[in-house]
Amino acid sequence: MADKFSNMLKLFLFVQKSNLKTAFLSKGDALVNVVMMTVNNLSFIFMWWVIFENKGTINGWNFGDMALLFGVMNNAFATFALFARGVQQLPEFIDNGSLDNFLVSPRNSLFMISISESTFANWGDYVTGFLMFFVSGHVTWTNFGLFLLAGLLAFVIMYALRVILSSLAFFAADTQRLGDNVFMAFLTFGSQPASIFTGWYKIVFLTIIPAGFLSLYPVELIKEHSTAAFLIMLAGSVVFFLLAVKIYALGLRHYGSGNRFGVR
Amino acid sequence: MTDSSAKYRALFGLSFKQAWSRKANLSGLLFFLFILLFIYNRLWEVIGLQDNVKRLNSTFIWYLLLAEMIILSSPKMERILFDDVQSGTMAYYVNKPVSFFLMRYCEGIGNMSVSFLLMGLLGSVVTFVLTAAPPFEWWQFPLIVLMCWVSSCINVLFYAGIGLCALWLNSIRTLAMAFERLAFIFGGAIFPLSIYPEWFVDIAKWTPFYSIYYLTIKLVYDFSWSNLCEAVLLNVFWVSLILVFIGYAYAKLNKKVNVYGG
Repeated sequence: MADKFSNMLKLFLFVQKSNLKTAFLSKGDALVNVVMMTVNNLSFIFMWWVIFENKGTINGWNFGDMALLFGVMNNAFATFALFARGVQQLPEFIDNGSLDNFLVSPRNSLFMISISESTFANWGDYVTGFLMFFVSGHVTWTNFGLFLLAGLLAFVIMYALRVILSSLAFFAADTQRLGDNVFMAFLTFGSQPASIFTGWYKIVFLTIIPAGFLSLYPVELIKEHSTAAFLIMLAGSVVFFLLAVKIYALGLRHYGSGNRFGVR
Repeated sequence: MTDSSAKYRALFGLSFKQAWSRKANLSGLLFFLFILLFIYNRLWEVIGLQDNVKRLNSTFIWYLLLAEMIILSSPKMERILFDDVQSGTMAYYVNKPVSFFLMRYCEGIGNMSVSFLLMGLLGSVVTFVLTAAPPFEWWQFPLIVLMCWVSSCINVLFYAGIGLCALWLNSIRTLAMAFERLAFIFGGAIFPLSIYPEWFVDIAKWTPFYSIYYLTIKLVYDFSWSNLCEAVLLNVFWVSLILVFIGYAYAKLNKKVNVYGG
């Protein structure tokens, strides 16, 4: 078990090193992409800054809270896009039969699919994420640790949801854009001030589209050092991850090979 | 002339039917739209209650619906053209009795129109249910929707222009993303420009997004013939500029394909 984990870790590091090397073949291009991504994120945050400048607070949330939320979201998304984006391509692999290439590999197929794609520009999300933490007004060493932890747990939930959505392709055809749109809806839901969701809105926010795990609890965890928020996030990430793996495994049983020859 | 337009109408029709058959795609799009309407309706409801302003959500949600109809209906035109140019597919079409660019553009418009129509129909129902009375008079609505459809066509044209940048760039992903984000900000695609500081609106006025998005969509809560004429005139100006660029880039591409092949 430990050997298997160590081998996977070695492979993961090797793939990441290759990704970095590939990206830096054209250093200028790579850096421009990262800067563009950062500017892109900051322009979105600017919209919210304008709203908070006009309104002061929204149901008790101020711009500092939003900055924390954006920090966690950006870090989680950066981790997803840099280290696990391949899972987004799963419907395409299933539809055109190239999933076979991953299935014949002796490694875990979900792991191999996940690390098969990385977008270098998303390093810009990390830049935005950390920048947002530093402007949030909650800068202490403890908060920084909690900020990293919240980002990691949010990533697990984000990843699990994406696996579930991508696995729909095992059961229905042409679901790439459906998955993309639902995932986008999830991210959009998670990028709103959690304080606006009360009553039955909150139920939807935490169940049907579990975006509350990305916005409400991370901010509570960092701001109030809430143990409850931490436990809820931890439980959420474990449950969603196990559910995602289960649905993926169920989907694999439904999968009929595309009869496409090739090894990866 | 008649024959020529019939070919492009047929391409539009084919693409329309093809897009209509992608039920899963359309469901995902509608789901995303409904979620956006649901979230932002809640946001403006809360802000309205906090500021004691009645029906604030109605104004902004109808605005958001039309903005998203323009943005979300766009069929990733830049990626299609970029792939055609980079993979050399374009070379297969240059000797055909259709203009390669117009062919792709008509297909794009056909594809866009399906999403636009569906989002318009179902989105209006959902928005009406969420907000009750709309901020416009019903006789104005078809005209506003038509203006938005024209804006969507212009939007597709801009993305096609980005796709043709494949002539000079190895990747257009970031350029397209930056364009999209600028459209969100300077076009007031999520929050209308009326809430932004004046200095920012002054900058936005110098961009095509101001008329294509903001001025057109604003008609939903501030309809007047003078606003409509201003939007039309500015749109004509920006379309002329982008057509000059597209004409130049396309001529260069054609020359390259003819000389070097695909």
